[in-house]
Amino acid sequence: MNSNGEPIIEVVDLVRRFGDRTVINDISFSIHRGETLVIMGGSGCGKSTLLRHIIGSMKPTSGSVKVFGEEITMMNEREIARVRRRFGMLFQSGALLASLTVGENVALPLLQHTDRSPDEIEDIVETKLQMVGLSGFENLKPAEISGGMKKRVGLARALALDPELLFSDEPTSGLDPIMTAVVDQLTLKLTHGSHMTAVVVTHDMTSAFRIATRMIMLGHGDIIAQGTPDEIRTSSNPEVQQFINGEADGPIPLNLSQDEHEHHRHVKPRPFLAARSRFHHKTQ
Amino acid sequence: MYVPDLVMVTLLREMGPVLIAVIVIGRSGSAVAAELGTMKVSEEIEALEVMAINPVEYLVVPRFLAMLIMLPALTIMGNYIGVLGGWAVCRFALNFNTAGYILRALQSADTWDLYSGMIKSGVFAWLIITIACNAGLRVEGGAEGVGQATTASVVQALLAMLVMNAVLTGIFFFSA
Repeated sequence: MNSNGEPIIEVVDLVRRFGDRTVINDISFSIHRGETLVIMGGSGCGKSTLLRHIIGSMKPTSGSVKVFGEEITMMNEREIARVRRRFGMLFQSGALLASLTVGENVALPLLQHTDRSPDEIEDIVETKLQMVGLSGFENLKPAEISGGMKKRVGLARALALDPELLFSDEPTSGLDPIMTAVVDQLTLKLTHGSHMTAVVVTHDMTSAFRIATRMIMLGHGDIIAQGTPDEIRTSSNPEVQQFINGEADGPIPLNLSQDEHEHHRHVKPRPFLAARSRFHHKTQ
Repeated sequence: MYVPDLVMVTLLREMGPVLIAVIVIGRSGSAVAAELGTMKVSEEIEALEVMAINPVEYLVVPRFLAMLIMLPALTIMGNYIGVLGGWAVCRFALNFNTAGYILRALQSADTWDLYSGMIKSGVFAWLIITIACNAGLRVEGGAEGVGQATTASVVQALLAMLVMNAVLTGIFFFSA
């Protein structure tokens, strides 16, 4: 086990390039037990890429990522799986298995990774669903519930194994203000009461300032600003002020270049479209 | 009349395994590719990985085993129905008597005809499910990608199955 002094996650000099485009440019930070780190930044700034490096599904170009004191960038699949059993992750869409019911989705990690009896698992599933305000929904399929409910089921599933570390990708987008508050309070309760550590990627500034103990703002692959919520709120950096106040005018550029956009979607330019645009070009 | 011989030999060796495989590629291979492809594009596969559940163990292995058991089982059933069809034609169109058909059918085929068909069917099962799962798990790019992967899996599986059938027939019956 880690002591309180040792960081749960330590990212050192992380660099990731796709071709000649640098998505993450030399980022370093660390997270300690019980902290809630909020990662902010505009679309396409490298937030998701950063998260994927921390959970071990992408390998960096250079640099190191230590999770629970172990270097995750050097691990093979089996070792990564061992580390992953200690954390939960909430996906942006919930990422529930559509063929299983809500209850079975939450039970899945318990069935796969513990030897608990079916009765115990049923109890845990009920408790977790109650935590996110969805008790009684066990037997519905994901297709039968709303987007916000799916996300809450995703959260219940992420918490099924009582993880030491929780990753949330936009946990409150698509939730109504009351449910947002419920989810925020749940995060706060878990990080204060159970010493869980949380890493939250979000655009929702109200929610971010409510839960964060520390905030990082990313832009163009760099950390633009980091600090406590108060430090961020009073930051003199115009990009930070523009972002947290949600202003259309400011130093953050509105458009990605075509090149970046193509890359962002992981879609190759298609010859047909290229040919068509050439055709339009000629006729103009 | 050689109708019973024709029915038995072509059915057990070729028509049974191949036709059943064609049907299964159309209804199950495509379904597997589409289902896994949809799971891929909706982040479900990634979610499994992050939950430390190996998607191959959790999703592919059960489908592989199911296909390996069910395709030969369906082929046996298909063979029965084919023989029954042969009997119906002989009995009602060609005025054979039933006992004569059964006797002739049993004399004309040997156990190797049956076994070779079963082996083929097992190999086809392996081909079909490998191609379908592979196509499904490699999907990129939303609903369009799922459609392309499903089409590709059906076309590839049909081709691979027919080529494999020719190869196996060659090995089983034309190699000295």
